[in-house]
Amino acid sequence: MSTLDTAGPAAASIASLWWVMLIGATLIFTFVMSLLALTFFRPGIGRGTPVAWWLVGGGLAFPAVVLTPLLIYALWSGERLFPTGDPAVAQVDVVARQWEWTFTYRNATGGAVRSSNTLHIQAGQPVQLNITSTDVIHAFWVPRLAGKIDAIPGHVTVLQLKADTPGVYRGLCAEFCGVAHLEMQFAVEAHEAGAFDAVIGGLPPATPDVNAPRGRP
Amino acid sequence: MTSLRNQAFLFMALGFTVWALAFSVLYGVQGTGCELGWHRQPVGPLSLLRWLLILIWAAHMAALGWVYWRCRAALAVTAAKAMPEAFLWRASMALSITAAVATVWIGLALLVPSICVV
Amino acid sequence: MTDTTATDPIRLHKQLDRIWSTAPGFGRLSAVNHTIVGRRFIVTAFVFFGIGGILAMLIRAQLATPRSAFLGPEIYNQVFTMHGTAMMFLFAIPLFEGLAMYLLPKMLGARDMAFPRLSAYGYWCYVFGGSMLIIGLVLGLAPDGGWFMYTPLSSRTYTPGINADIWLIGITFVEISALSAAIEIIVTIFKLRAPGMSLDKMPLFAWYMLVTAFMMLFGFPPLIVGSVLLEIERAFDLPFFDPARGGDPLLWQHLFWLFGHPEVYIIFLPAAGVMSTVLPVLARREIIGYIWIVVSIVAMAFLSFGLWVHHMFTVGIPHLALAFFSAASTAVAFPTAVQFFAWIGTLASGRPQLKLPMLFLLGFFFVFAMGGLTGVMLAIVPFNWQVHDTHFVVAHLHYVLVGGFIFPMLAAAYYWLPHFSGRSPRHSLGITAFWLIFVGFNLTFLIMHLTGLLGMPRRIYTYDDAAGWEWLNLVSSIGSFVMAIGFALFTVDIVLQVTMGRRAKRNPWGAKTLEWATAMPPPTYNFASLPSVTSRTPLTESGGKSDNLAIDLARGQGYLGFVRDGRLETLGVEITSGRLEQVVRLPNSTFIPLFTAMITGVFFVSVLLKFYLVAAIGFVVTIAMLLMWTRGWGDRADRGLMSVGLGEEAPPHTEVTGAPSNWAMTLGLFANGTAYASLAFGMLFLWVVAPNWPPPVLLDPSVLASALAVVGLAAAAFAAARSVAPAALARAPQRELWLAVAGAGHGAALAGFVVLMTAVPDPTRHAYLAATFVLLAYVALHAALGVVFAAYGIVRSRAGYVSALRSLDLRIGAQWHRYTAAIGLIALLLIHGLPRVMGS
Repeated sequence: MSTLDTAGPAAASIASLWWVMLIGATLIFTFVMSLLALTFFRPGIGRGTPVAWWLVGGGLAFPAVVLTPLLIYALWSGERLFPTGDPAVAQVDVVARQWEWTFTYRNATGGAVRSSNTLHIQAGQPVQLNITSTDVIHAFWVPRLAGKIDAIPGHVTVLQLKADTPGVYRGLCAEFCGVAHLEMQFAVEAHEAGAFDAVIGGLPPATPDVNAPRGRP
Repeated sequence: MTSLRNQAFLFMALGFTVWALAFSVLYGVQGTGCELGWHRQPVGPLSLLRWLLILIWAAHMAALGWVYWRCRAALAVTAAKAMPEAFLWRASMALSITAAVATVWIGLALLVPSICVV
Repeated sequence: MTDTTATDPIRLHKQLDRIWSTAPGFGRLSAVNHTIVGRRFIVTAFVFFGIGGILAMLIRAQLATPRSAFLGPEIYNQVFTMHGTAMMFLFAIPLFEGLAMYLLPKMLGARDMAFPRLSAYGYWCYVFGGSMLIIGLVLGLAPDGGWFMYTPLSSRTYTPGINADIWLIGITFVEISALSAAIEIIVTIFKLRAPGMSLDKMPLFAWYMLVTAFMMLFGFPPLIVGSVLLEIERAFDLPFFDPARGGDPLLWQHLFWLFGHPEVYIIFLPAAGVMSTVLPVLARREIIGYIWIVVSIVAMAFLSFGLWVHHMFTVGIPHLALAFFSAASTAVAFPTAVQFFAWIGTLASGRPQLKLPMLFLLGFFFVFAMGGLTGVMLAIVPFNWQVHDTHFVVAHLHYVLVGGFIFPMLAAAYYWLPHFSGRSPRHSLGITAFWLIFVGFNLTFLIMHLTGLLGMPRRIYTYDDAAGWEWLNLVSSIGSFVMAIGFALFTVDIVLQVTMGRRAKRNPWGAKTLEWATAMPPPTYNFASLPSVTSRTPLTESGGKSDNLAIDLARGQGYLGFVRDGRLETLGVEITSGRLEQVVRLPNSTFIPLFTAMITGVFFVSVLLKFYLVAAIGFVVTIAMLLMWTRGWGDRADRGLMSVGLGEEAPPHTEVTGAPSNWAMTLGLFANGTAYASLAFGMLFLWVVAPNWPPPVLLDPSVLASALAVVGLAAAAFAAARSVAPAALARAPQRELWLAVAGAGHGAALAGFVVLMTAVPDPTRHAYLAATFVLLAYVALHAALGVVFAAYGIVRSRAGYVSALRSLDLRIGAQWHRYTAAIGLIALLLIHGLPRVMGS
């Protein structure tokens, strides 16, 4: 379940962002606390320091130097995590309801099929999830693969997911959704190409009511 | 002179009000534009929506320039007469600069390529 | 006129105390004095803190071990919802309101807040509203949808019981006190300062509170509107948040967080004000960068209104839009850093003393710095996607709120306790309490960041042992109990100090702000006479020894060192320059705020229990009682300039344009306008974003009814303006005629709006119809009140309270009439224009 034990490119990119920020934050924290300690252990240490040094240096320049590259890096890396809308990417419609997940595989050969509480994907291949809810707000989250996105009634949200290697990855509902919120867990099973087709082929056909999510993006 | 007295407090809020306006209008137009498909209408190298956002951003920057200039002029007058309002005008001037920097800062977002959800 | 110039301090004290004091016994319930009401706010807030703390202990006990059977999900959901609700709404906000009420008049050199009865009314609303929530908790009916009440989970379909209604109605009741406190704090800081205290000489704490109060004025209305709309949806099935009928759950999130994020800064700024007040005193030097701090407070206030969507990074908003909010969220680090380094610079260039309050200030630095750093991380969009709604966020928000609020407030408690109680500590329990709280806190929450990163979402009532979160949760739980012991010890220490402490010497910390010029504990009237201020450090002015000013004032050698006609008087100044402007008369203790709050309670409880007839009566009676506050209040003859001592004169507040109550109406209309704008925003938002639009039917509102409303509103605004013109003010029949015209205009507008409302076919069908209906109801209510206020103006005029000089009542009314005309016309524009623009 760890966001740091990554198994997909999105989670990996965010985890490296975390490590960078952790190191930066630790350095900043240590620096500020050392300054603070000095004011007590070496009283009057700043008596000769011009006021502007504190305010311009500490208050403006320091955060500017830290935040400008961070923000640009974050926007750049966020941009790469947004779904591209590439029509070649496989599509799965996800419907959340209290307290169950239904997955509909639109592009399956021989018509749409569905599965409940287990999402089957092909390892190494990205898949685009079109997510909605039929009742309250839920959130789709597979910590080891990618960040979360809400399932909102009346809206369709989009998440691109990719697992690097075959395996079973646990997912859960991250937005509080009522008494059985905790039980609303699911699994993502990533299969090798051949095994994937077999699994999909064995799934029951999709019932029309959960076929295509309705609503505005 | 009375206007310099009465407006001092107003101008303290004015700089960032322009910022807030820029922020809300940009966000509102962005949402509406995506809804109406303006991001799919190319105008020259950029989409109609992006041009619109850049224009809105620039207009607010210009407004902030005006606020700054007013504060600066009022500060000169009030400071020369050692009026207590000089403090507010100085603060207002600093706030108009701060608001301009904040507007540039959020303007960074206009560089983000994905303007609407696919 | 019985001017007494008492030079004998004892006699003066007795004269003042007689008129300012509150009766004992049951008479205490009639208290309106800011010292008493402020103290009550603080003590009550700590009681709710205790309740919230016990709930936190239940949460940690439940999560200490995997698969715990201690609390089931039904109870657990109520517990965490009420923990958040109590801490945010019933503890943090009221605590700093109480501190501000207690301190501001003393710091500014005034005898009371601008509207003492409003403070008392706000207090009772807070107590009654808070009690509703606690009673709900005891009965097992507490809200259970999380403290931000996301729809549709909190809608009737998914929360059919009374639980969510208790939250919506109880919190709205409590928010009356937040709005009234906001207005009162602003007006007090604007107007009730010692002469000579221009804004640049004002203590920084007052600047912090001024900005905070403005934020409350604009921040709370969206929440109130959201709550009212949700309650209307729950009770009457008007769809605002139901996507099947053109509503949108995201509208709730926007309204909630539009309040919710500024809320965090509303809580932080007063605490930062404490930092900027206490830290320089203990560092034995003035704070560096006064104007820098003022600028950064204002910047922070504005920026904080541009962050709300960072609570909604996972709802599927386009990246470019997220980037706005990500940028704004990081930008707020700048003003924070300016203040942080101003404090460190002050310490570095002063001679800091490691006294008990300083220990808590250092606790603030450590904890808040970490909360700030994780805050920047959360502003980063991709990272937010991973940790949003996990224990990482729980850890972050506790670092920010406990660091940014509780540590400074505990410092404030120890710093001002000698002032409150007149006693200084005998023991050093406080040091032990600090270390228990500090170590316990970090033990609880530092590793909770990791718990979140390891994938533990918030708001789950248990977990299984395979998850790898067992030891993390156990450590957090142990830490939380250490922290709880620390808070218990703090409580014991405070009680000991108040009951058994040594008599404190005056101004024990060597501070330079005016609150330390009062006796300790302070007398009912604060200052026997009011100071004239010439610098930021008034206590160093009189001869350089801090006690001199206090003695001079006690001897009546400042302004108003006498009692005139048995009236409670304080001084009012021009906002910016602090020049003497008016003598403000204040009310004495009275039961009417308590009674009004009780009737207001009848209204809210009837709404909760769906007794709508009783609720309507309660509403009408509440308005009537609020108007009754002014009975016998005011002057029936012109007074002209009055002596204020020191050879200066000023008119009474009823005879100046900038009277406190006139400002209160202006500010009240700002808040009202924000609520109205939120409503209009909601309608536009639904139209653009919500699913299932366009609506099944577009309205073509009646032209005749609309024209009637337009004419009525125009007449009301015009007549109101004429009624306060000099010519009309001078002649009673003329001004009363104009007021009658204003009232009739409102009446016509009301009729027009009601016709339009009844023409809306079944507002439960679609959000468009519901929003139109509510928009019209909003302006109709304002027109109805316009009739009442116009009539009230006539009553006041007849009773002799109005003259060419004493036009305050009518000018306050005129503001309402103009405002109502404006929002009424906007409503008509929207209901006619939107279908045309958006329908095509």
